[in-house]
Amino acid sequence: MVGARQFQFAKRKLALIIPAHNEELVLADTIASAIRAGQHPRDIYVVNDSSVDETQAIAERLLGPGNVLAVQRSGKAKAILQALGHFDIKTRYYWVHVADADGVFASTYFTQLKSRLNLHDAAATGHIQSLKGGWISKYRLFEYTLGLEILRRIQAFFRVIPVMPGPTSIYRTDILDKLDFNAGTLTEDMDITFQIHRLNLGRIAYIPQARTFTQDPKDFHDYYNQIQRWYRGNFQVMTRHRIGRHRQRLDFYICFVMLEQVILLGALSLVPILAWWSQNYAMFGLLFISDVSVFLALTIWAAILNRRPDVLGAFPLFYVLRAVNLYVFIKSWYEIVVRRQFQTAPIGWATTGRRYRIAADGLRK
Amino acid sequence: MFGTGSGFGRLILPAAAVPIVASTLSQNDINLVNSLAIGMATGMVVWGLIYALMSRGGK
Repeated sequence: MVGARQFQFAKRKLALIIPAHNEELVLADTIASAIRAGQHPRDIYVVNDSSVDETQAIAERLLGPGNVLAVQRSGKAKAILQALGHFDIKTRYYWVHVADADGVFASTYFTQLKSRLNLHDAAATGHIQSLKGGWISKYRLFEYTLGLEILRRIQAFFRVIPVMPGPTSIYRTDILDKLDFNAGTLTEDMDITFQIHRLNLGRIAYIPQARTFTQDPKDFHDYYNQIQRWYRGNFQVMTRHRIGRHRQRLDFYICFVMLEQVILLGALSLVPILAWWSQNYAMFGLLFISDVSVFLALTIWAAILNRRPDVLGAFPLFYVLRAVNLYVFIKSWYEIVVRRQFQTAPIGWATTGRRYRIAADGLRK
Repeated sequence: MFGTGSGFGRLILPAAAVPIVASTLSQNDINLVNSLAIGMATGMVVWGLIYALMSRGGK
């Protein structure tokens, strides 16, 4: 009994695992920011999935060889699994944080996180912000601000958080054995979150005080590929978990989101027909004015909240990205749900070729 | 879509209200709405073009 108590006492609070594949451009910044944010280097682990660049050397230099595991080409999910076993994370830690290698943690990230993690919860997620960048990053800042400052809080209240995103996913280690990290979907973070709901493993906490920054796509081509992967992955996960056929809160929430998209599409399709039928073309004008008004007001709010007035400059271009989002949403639905394509995800890394070195002013407001 | 959550009616409400509001407008109101919409659309296009030209090379 005494031995057990001593063992419990020796168990550390939080391990950070960073899966990496050719991350030499960003890994050092990510590790350095984790240390600055309150994570001790001995609790940071890198699993290097067959990198051919300097990833292994950078990780070993910053953390020591004992905290770096090199694995044969496995893909992100399998690499994480191997790291969990190799470093005996479940026995040695209460919590494990999995983070993408392109993140930059805010200076208080880990101290905030560790002070708020509660063992009654099964998992937790923090707040994501965009690094300073071009028009795509500006749009992402708007999306993250709206999505996390408002909607994520509502999701957390109703216990329907549908995804713990890659840069900030924290799991209580005693639930790890129950999770399938190798589900073969394009959005493994969403799949694992759905598993937590389906298995009733407990609450997913949202900790907005823990803030991390993430790299956005560097150009339109990257952006398109990323959202295509996300949307295809979303529909894969929804199909795999038979959303709508259970009576969990998650099912009601996801059905509500889908219904909202359908109603919006229906409304947008109906307005031109109604305008033609009634010969009242002011409907187009009203639709446009009302949309711009709501959208612009939310963008101004996001800019003020983040002290980023530069975001407003790119506002008209946000409409391009919104239109692309809608197109990819419909296309992905057709591919996955109707045509049953892309039912399995290939082993590999969706980040290949996407990384870029973080600009010196990337974190400045 | 799900990463940042649902719009919780943020965009549906204006779209749903449009036909109702439009049916109550007089001809003068319709002209005003159309002029305002055309002006806003033109302004947005010009604004977007200027931004795109000035930030060429950015991501």
